[in-house]
Amino acid sequence: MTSLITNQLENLQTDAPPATIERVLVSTGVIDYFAPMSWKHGTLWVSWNGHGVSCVAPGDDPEPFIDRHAAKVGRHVARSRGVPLRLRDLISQTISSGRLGTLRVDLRGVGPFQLDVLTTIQDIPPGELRTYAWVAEHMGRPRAVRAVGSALNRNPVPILIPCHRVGTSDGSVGNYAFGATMKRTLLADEGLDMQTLDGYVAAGFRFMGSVNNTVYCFPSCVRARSIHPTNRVMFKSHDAASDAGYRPCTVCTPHGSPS
Amino acid sequence: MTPTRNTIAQALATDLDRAFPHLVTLYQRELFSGIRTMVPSHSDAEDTMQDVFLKAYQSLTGWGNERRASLSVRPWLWMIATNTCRNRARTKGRRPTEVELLIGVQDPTESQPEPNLELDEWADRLAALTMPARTAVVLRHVVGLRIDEIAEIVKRPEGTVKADIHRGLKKLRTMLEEVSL
Repeated sequence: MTSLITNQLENLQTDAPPATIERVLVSTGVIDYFAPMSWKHGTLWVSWNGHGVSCVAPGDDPEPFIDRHAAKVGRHVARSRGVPLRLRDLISQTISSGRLGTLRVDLRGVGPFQLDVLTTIQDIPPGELRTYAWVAEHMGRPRAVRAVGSALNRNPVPILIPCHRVGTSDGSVGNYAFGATMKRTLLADEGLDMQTLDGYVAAGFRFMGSVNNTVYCFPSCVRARSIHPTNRVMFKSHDAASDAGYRPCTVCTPHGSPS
Repeated sequence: MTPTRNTIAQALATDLDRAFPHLVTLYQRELFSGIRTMVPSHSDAEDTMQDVFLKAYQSLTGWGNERRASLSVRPWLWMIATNTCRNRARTKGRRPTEVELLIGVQDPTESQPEPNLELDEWADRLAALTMPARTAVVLRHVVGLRIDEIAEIVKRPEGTVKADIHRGLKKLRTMLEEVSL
């Protein structure tokens, strides 16, 4: 009887469910899952693993996303049925609030310089536009303006980490991985008045000051936007502002270096 | 070259992320079968096994190459597995697993469990055993580990493990005899 039992026990072998290896490897972050989700502007492709969201891109088809994931992340990526509900909620929240909040992003493949850039720009409030030079200055690397631009272009999680809030020094939005139109759309979604901004750029105005407190800001700074139209004064450069006796705003720090 | 059970420890030491998928492939059938006899259902077994591999990976990342290379992979995996089964039995009710917390709840249509009635029956019978007896019987006879390996896994003397197995089998025999009477 006992040997009958042990014989039966020894034959209790069964295959593990097929999804096992995939789920295990995704949870450890050895590979990623990807799936589409809908957002305000159509379809957003998202990849993720146990460390967080690893890559994001808008678009209709999966192929460009897979190529993008291969270039920026390089791990194997497996199609999932859908973005898990909780993750989808967190991503939607991040997009609507303009801040990462509790959403985790997987930046393991990102080098120290790019990581520094991506961390710096997370402090730019939604609906505000800074410049590549500002980011470089803020990082204490004032000459690395071009490197900042290329680091932002290689941002694996655009929209979530707001590289769309950084433009060129003339105050325009500059280039974007998904086209300047998308960049303008994202900023407009966040409440930036693009028409007014275009007007300033066309006139060569880069900064806005208030005659009341003689402080100057980026025109998109929350403080600048609260200046009454009759009290506004526009400047084409830092020098012009400081020659007029204006000092830089401590909120948007238009001169670049942190106060 | 694809690592085998004999070379997997060295492979994990050389390149963890390359070797880890092979670790899963090598041990998932054995782990799933054994775990299935220690937890109430097929889906519990699936969740538990995923957590075991996740914990294994997390430990490995914290270790140096030497420690990984000298690892006795099989008993080590079973140590994690028995602890995970025990902890799951202790926590009442359905809580999200580590894997679910990290990557989300599984789509129920994703894996259609194929019922293995024989396994289900044995899992029910084994559930009637005390935890030490069940663990020892499963590790010895379902998994096929040696007594000294089991003793190390459950941290009990070899003599005690033998007694656990004996008691477990005796209980199973009684149960089967009662049914056949």
